[in-house]
This record gives sequence, structure tokens and C-alpha cells, in this order.
Amino acid sequence: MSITEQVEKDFSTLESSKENLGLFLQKGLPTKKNELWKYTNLERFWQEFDLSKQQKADLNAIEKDENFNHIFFVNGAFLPAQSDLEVQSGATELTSLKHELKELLANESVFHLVESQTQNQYLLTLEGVQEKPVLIHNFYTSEHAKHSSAHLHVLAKANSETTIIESHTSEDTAESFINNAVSFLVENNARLSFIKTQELGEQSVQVQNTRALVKRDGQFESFTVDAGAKLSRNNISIRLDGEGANCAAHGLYVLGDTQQSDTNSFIHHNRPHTESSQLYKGIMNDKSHGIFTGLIRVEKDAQLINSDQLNKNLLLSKGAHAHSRPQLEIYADDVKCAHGSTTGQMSDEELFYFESRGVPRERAQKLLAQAFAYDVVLKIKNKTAREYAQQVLKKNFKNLKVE
Amino acid sequence: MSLLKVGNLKAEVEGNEILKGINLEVKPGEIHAIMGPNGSGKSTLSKVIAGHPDYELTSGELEFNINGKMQDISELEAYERARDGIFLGFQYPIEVPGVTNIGFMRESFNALCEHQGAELMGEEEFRDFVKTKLPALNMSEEFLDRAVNEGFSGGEKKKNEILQMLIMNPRLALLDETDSGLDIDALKTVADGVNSMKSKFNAFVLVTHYQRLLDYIQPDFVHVLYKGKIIKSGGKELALELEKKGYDWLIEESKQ
Ligand SMILES: Nc1ncnc2c1ncn2[C@@H]1O[C@H](COP(=O)(O)OP(=O)(O)OP(=O)(O)O)[C@@H](O)[C@H]1O
Ligand SMILES: [Mg+2]
Repeated sequence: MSITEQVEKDFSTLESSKENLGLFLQKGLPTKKNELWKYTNLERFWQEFDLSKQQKADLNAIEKDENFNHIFFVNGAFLPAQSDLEVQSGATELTSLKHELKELLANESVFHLVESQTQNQYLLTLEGVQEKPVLIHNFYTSEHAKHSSAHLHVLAKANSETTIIESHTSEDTAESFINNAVSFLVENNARLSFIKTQELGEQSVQVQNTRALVKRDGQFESFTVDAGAKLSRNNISIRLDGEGANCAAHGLYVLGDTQQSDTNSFIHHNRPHTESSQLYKGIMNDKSHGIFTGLIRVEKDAQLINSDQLNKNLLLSKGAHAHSRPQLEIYADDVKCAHGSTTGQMSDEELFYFESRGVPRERAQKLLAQAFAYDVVLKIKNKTAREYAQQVLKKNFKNLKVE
Repeated sequence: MSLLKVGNLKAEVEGNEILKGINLEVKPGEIHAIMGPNGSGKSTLSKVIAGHPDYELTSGELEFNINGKMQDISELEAYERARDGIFLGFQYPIEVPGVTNIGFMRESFNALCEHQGAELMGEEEFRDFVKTKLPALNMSEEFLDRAVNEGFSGGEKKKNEILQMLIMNPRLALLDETDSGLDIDALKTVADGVNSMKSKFNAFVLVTHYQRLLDYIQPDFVHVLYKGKIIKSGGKELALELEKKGYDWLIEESKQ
């Protein structure tokens, strides 16, 4: 059975949107012929998952850190009883928001697949200044989940200010295929900072579509910390759609074994006086593979643009590799754009400096890798959220076996 | 009893023989100066003693006094040699972006503590300890929170090496041109640092191009290295003679 046949059969038992399913079936999974999927063969990972299994599960003991407002999802389904904030579910509330977000590019077939699942469509509405960051827990169990798909919409009302952390964790043995989306509408003068931490078990695969539409004087920041999963793909698409709007898209991937992380960012300057900044860093060990493709597009009428993009990769072993493709498409003339990428090994001279001071090589490698990662994390402005991200990193550096 | 013994030592890097039979014995309480023209192998010798992995010992002996016994250290990793009391002050100190100076020093200091079975030092206690060393070196506390050597001036980097040395309190300090690029006041400061640490239990090997340093730190021996060999050893008067006459006469002499 081909993949599309399998999807058609499995999804016939689920509540689904015929229109989106149709679009997916028409396009199929992206292949290598699609430039944006050149290095990630989704088909190879896909076949290992049984799409028909997507079941609800509950969480047992939950410990809630008081510094956050918590929201819980298990296998893509919202748990209202345990959550501190309300998330509306069902597609009806979302019709107008979805319509507005249509402006965002969404022609990826994986995105149609998320949209075809009508049961896990959610809306979180944010107003005013939120003192505590919102911590969204996404947990995937090994028993129930094979395939998980959810779409969270976040409406940041005018003048609101929020930091959201979205964590993805799973049971170690979980073999999940997670295909999800998070879409933001950042209204005039609203500020939203979104930190995604991914620490899934080594048998999991995640494709996440993060999309944001940013209105006048709005600010959107996206941070991605990728440490787990055997394959993780992040599609990030941000459109600066009002004067004075600005965004940042930063990320860090820390990989070992045969892990792969593939980031595809698209920053669209659609109005004058907009700014964007990107810093993506990868640390790759063993035979892991980090990929970054970043496109900045500046429309003809979007003058006075400031935009920078940097991708830096650190390879810790001979078998690890990195691909980096910064791209610009500029149709306006008054534009300041800087982009670049570097890939290198750890400096032997820096390592020897540590060693000459009594620090074993392995420890020195860890410290230098941490130092490399540190400046991305420092860009998270909210202290509580920054410390949270640091903890995640620290935990994962412990697992980073360096050669 | 000796502290360091180098016997007919030969070493190469990427297949080029750089050290061609070095003999050097250092006893506790001694100060040795190593001089010689550019490219003669002075830095190579200090890195070989400290255990730089790029240099391969092809023959000869390299022994260090550990727990009262001379032991072959040629197979020890650099970090093990450092823990046993060998310190290298770099000719070109390395910049380490993203690592604070104080973090780097605490890491080094605690590595020694761990080795000696002593309790590790916490952040605050360590900062207080380091602060006691700053005035003598004329350094401000601000240097502790900057990234290691990043953006430091040439002289500040050298002083930072001395600060690290004072903190590690090694039994053998190899200082590779720590005096180069220092102004007169800084030179005195660095010399004071060395003199304050000097005791009958430790020793210094100073690589230098200038007699000037030796006005402040009195060497017991001066060696001249040329093309990977020590071609002359003498007392501190040898340095004065070199200052006046240069190296040519020695090189001529060594050819005969
Ligand atoms: N990694 C290397 N590869 C090739 N040659 C090297 C390497 N390291 C050192 N050398 C060579 O070894 C020789 C000795 O170098 P070294 O740095 O020890 O000299 P030095 O006496 O310290 O000189 P200076 O007074 O200029 O500091 C030089 O000719 C140098 O080019
Ligand atoms: Mg030298």
C-alpha cells in the first residue's frame, strides 16, 4: 500500500476535513525533488508508523511549578482538568482566525495533513500583560500514540505581552509520529515570545509547523531548542505584516547518534520599517546531521528593512555533518540585510588551553559546546523562561557524549 | 633531588623534527631562563613538557617528580601533568568566547582540588579567593567576568596568565615569553608575581628574549636554544653577554 492509500484508509475512521485531506492526497509527502526537503526523506520515517492509532491517555502525577501557568496536552489532546488556562477546542471558534492566517504560506502537504484532522484544533486567546510565562506541556505516551496531530492557534490581542514555552517530551520508548502546527496572530503592538523545547524519545519523529502573522508594531520571537527525537523538522514561517513589526527566530539543535534536525525558516517582510533577526546554532556529534535553510523575502514596497541571519555549526565528530543554506529574495532597494553561515570543529588550541589547566579533554569539550550554545539562550528575555531553557540544555549536555 | 629531568629529548610535529636532543635538569627552588633566536624551539620545548598532543616524543626521557619520586610523564595527558603541578604560561594566550574568566579559573582550580581529594570551592568563596590576588597584579575585578582573554590587550593577557599561575600554585611554571609586550610597570608586576610565589619547593623555567626580565627575576641558569639543541648553558652573566653580543658568536662556536 502506498503512503497516500494508507493515509486515506486510516483517516477514514477519524473526524476529518475532506478538503484538506484531499489536498494532502493530491500532493503526497514531500520528496527530495522539493528543494526544501532535499535532506530529509520523510517517507523513510513515515512507514514505520501506524497512523490509525491516535488515542487519548491521561497523565498520572503532575507537578506544577508555580512560576508558570500550565496547559497540558497528551498525545495531542487537551487536558482541561489539569490546565490553568482555558483552551477552546473545535474548529468553529477558529473559522475567522484561520481565514486571517490564510495569508501565511501554508502549501506544505504536511500542513494539510494537520488541518485535515478536525478534532485537535485549539485556540488560546491572550490579553493584557501576562506576568507568568505559559508552559504548554505536550506529552506523548508509548502505549497509545503512534500518530499525533494537533494545531494550536494563539491569538495575541492588541497590546498583550506573553511568553510561552511549549515543551515536547515523551516516554523513552514512545514511537510517535508527531505532525503538529502552532499558529500565531500577533495583533497591533502585542508582544509574544515563543520557546519550543523538544526532548522527545529517540524513536520519535516530529514535524512542526510554526507560523506567525505580525501586525503593526507587533513583536514575535521564536526560539527552538531541539535535543531529542530521531528526526525533527521545524518549518517556521513569519510574516511581518504591519509597519514597525519585528521578529526574531532563533534556534539551537544539539544532536548525537544518528539524529537529524532540519530547520526551514521563512521570514517575509511584507511592509516597510520591519525588522528581523535570526541566529541558529547546531552542535552535532556522532553521525548526526543538522540542516538549516533560511529564506528572507523583502517585498517591493517594503523599504527601510533591517534583517540579519546567521547559522553556526559546531561538529564534534568526523561522522557528523551540517548543511546550511541562507537565501535572500529582495525586491526593495532600501534594505539592510546580512546573512552568513559557518561550520567548524572545536578549536584544538582552546581545548589544549583547558587541558593545560588540569581540565580533562571531555569536560573541556562539554564546556566549550555549552559556551557555543549559551549566547542563543541569552537572547530569551524572560528570566524564568531563560532559566527553563538553560535547564533543558544542561540536561541534554549531560547526555552529549563527546568524542 | 630534581623536579624535572629532560634527557636527550627529541620531538617532532607533523614529521618535522624540532627538538633534536635536549638535556635539562631543574631542581626545586631554581629559576632557569631559556633564550635563543626565533624558531629555535623554545615554545615547542615548553609545550612538549606540558603535554601538547600535537608533538610527538620520538626518543629520550621526560621525568617529573611526583610524590617524591622521578616518574616518566611522557605518556600522561596534559591535564594529568597540570594536576601533578606543571603550569604552562602561553606565549599567545587563547581567547575563549562564551566562557567567563572566573569560570575558567574555578574549573581549573577545582580540577586540582578534585585530584588532591580536597573539597571543591563554591562560586562565592572562589571569587573572594581570586580577589585577594588581583591588587598585586593591578587587575580590576571586571576582568573576572569577561570572557577568557577576549578583547584583552596583549599585556592584560599576560597578566591573566600570571593570575592563573598564582591560583594554581604549580610546582613547575613554564612561562613562555610572559614578558613580551609588557610595559615597564607591567613587567615589574609580573616579576613581583613570580617572586611572590617562588619558594624552595617550586621552580620556574622562563622563556624570554630580553635580559630586562632577568633584572627583576634572578635566574640561576641561562640556556641558549638553537635549532632544537641547547648550545650553551651558564649563569645569569650569560644573558648579559648575549644582550651585548647577540647570538652569532655562540652559533659559530657551536659549529666547531
Ligand atoms: N605545528 C607545527 N607545524 C610545523 N612546524 C612547526 C609547528 N610548530 C612549530 N613548528 C616549527 O618549529 C620551530 C620551532 O618553533 P617554536 O615555536 O618552538 O620556536 P620559538 O623558539 O618559540 O620561537 P619564538 O622565539 O619566535 O617564539 C619553528 O621553525 C616552527 O615553524
Ligand atoms: Mg615561542
